[in-house]
Amino acid sequence: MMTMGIDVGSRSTKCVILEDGKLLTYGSIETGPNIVKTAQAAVDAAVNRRTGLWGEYRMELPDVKVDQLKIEDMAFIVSTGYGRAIVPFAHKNITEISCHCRGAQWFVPGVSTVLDVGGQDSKGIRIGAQGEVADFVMNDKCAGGTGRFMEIVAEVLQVPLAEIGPLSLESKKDLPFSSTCAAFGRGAAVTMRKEGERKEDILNGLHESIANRVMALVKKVGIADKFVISGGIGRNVALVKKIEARLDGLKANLPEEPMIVGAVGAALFAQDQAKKKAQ
Amino acid sequence: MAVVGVDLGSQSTKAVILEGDEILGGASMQTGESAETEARMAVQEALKQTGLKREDLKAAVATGTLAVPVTAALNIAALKTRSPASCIATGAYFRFPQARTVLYVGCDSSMAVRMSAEGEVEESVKNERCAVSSGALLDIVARMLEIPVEELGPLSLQSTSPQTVSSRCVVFAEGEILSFIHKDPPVPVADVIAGANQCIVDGLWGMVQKVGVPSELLICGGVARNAGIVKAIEARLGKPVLLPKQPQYVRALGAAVFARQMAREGVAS
Repeated sequence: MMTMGIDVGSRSTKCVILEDGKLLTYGSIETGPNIVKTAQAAVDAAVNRRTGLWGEYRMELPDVKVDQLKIEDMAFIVSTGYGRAIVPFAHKNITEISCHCRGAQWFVPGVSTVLDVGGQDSKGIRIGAQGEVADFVMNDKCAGGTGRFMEIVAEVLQVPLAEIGPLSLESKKDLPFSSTCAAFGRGAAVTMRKEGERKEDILNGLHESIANRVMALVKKVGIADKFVISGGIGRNVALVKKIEARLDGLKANLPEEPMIVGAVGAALFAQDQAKKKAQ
Repeated sequence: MAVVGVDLGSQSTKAVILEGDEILGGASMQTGESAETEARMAVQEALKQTGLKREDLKAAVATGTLAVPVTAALNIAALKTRSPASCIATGAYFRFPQARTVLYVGCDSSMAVRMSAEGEVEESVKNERCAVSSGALLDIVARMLEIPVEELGPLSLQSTSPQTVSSRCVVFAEGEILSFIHKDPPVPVADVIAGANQCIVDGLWGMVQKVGVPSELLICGGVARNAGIVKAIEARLGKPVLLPKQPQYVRALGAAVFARQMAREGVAS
């Protein structure tokens, strides 16, 4: 029995297909202005095993042909994420908080706290003993603690988004990033460059500032073992390192593909629904 | 005895020359890489309108976001810096002593100041960590619509139904406004601009409410030249605001008033 989870994020859309709870395939594409087309294209990306957005596949996938799979082959489809309500082929939509909670447990059994930082929001989720959402906080009002801030600065510095993490690790200077506002971040980065500051030092300061912001957020729900980082920041080595340094000795668990956590959760909910239907 | 006030803003640097109660000259230069250079150039430009020389300036006061020491550049012995809040209050009080609340809106920062009947600062709140209550969104809207920023105000007044911008972050508002422009059919330009004005004024009004409006409200700073923003503030206030003719110079004028005081005290001693 195959089920699908589709996570329509503000910046990227992820599609995951499970077969009897095991990962069959996944893919991702950039979210376009038309959500309906984007959702369809994400399905195409999954069946053709494309993650153009992130490069290499990090998770091993079963060696079976999936490129003939169709939406009609799915027993149930659940959508999530910011565009979840307008996916025409989804049977049900479930909030990203629930889906991240569920997906995080699939990747890291026994997880207590999830920090998810995506393209345009960041959230902290506390998971209870029964695997339920015990508490959550969300910032979708200010771009300051989100991927958008990193995108803006990366663009000014002309560094590809995927490279800002590794580059930042080369920094040898403590240079505080002068703005907490992403709109002012553009000007702040330009000014620092004009003053002769190095790109890696500017990025290091930026990551420091964002780490402080997102940790302040997730502390509101409480940090407990096991701590999971998901979303786009999971692919930023420098930021992950800075978050780990703020965990008071706790280890940060990083899913192999941190960006598909929500989509996996959605596909697992789809499986529950399909089973219910079959009974 | 002529003196000068210099306001080092994030987008432009202003100089105002004052002699007694008379404003002799004022000039504004775009802020670039060196605050010192622009401060010197603004003072020179203002001097040209007066026929005075730099040696005639007996005192100077600098203020603003970038109030760095500009003593050497200005080459005026008596130079001090004063806080933006006190310069805003003093500059407003100079011509409008009936104002008790001043809303200053600059390109990158904004401030609401409540003052006593004597023009002393009683309370002030500023917004410099978040761009939403500043002129930043206007610059973005102007760029997106390819309309000069000076034309935004008059255009917004033509709006019949402002398009609501729900974001409270300039970065997210930019995306939202972009979607209005690309809508089929697109949202009328006037309604887009009026919506952006509303978004900015929501933030500004919160600041005004924090300090309170016991009597008259004066608006100044470069953004006060935007008639749409002024109208939106007046709608919230429920009555007309006090609007100086050249609102962008109010903070520099306040600095000049402090310089005049310095010069007088210097003469007295």
